[in-house]
Amino acid sequence: MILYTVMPDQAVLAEDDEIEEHAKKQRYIDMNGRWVLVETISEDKCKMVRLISSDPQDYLDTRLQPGNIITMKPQI
Amino acid sequence: MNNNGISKSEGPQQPQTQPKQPDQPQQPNEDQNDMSKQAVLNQIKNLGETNVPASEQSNIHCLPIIGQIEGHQQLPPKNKTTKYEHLIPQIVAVEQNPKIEGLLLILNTVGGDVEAGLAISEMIASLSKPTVSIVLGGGHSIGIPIAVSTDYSYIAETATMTVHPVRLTGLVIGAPQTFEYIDKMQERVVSFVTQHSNISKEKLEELMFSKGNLTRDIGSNVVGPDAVSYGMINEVGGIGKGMMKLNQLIEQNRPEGQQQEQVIQ
Repeated sequence: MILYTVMPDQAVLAEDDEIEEHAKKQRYIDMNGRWVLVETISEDKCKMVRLISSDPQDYLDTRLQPGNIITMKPQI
Repeated sequence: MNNNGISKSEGPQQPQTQPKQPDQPQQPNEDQNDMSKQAVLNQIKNLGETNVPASEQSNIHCLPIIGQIEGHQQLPPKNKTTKYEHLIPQIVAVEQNPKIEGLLLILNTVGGDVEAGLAISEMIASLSKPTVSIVLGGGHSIGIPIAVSTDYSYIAETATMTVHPVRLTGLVIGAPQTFEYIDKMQERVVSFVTQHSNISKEKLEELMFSKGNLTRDIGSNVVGPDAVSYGMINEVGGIGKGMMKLNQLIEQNRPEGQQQEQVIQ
């Protein structure tokens, strides 16, 4: 990998244990065809962190806004 | 992977008790509306999933490019990253979805992986639909080829672009070949930028290797209006100008017959 960035390498590649722990709880899920980064807060609840979509209308959708708590339930 | 929601009404993820098809027109009956609202609310509570909102899909899609551009290697989580595997399918979807007519790129990046950056730039440059980029804040390093890859580019008055040589990170073998390798990498960036913008190779390399602009480093920090005067970026402007240009390009891109068809509809 060749990094071409204005950030110093030490800053880009440095690991931070505290943030690492935080990041372990995060994962990308597919929600109605949109990719959402969620953070697990309990067994069946997730908090939305980041929406990945190129459709600007999606960002106006209140259900997809960061901070929303969603309940996950297994589907049969 | 339908992260643009092209085939929304299919797939195993769909709840079984579906109040109505999302592509059916809204019922004028208020009771029905209330009921469907209630059903949607229930779905949120029960499944954490809802039907896709009925709002129309925008004909312009937008790709925000922020933080580090991440490619082959996953960067430590404290970096804010734009991931290659997220962007590429979106660009593909923009190309193949007939409802999407233009792409707006908004950059505020510090650079990142050379190969991922060039891959994204090549994908955008080869899109058949009109594209416009806006550099806000910063479009540094590998952000430069991405910014120039669009049909037309804008830079905010206060935004900057840092042009500097490519460096190798990690374990480096001290052989002349290593230098040649970096030189080749750099050549790829330089040739892409010169091919897709009005800046000359000489000027770009002069900026890249100039001394005294960056403290204890070589390269230059090019501010908005300067980037335009060097020919790297087309114009100074923000979202308003960018949207206007994109809509204008979309109109030009539309074949005559299709233009009429739109009016009839």
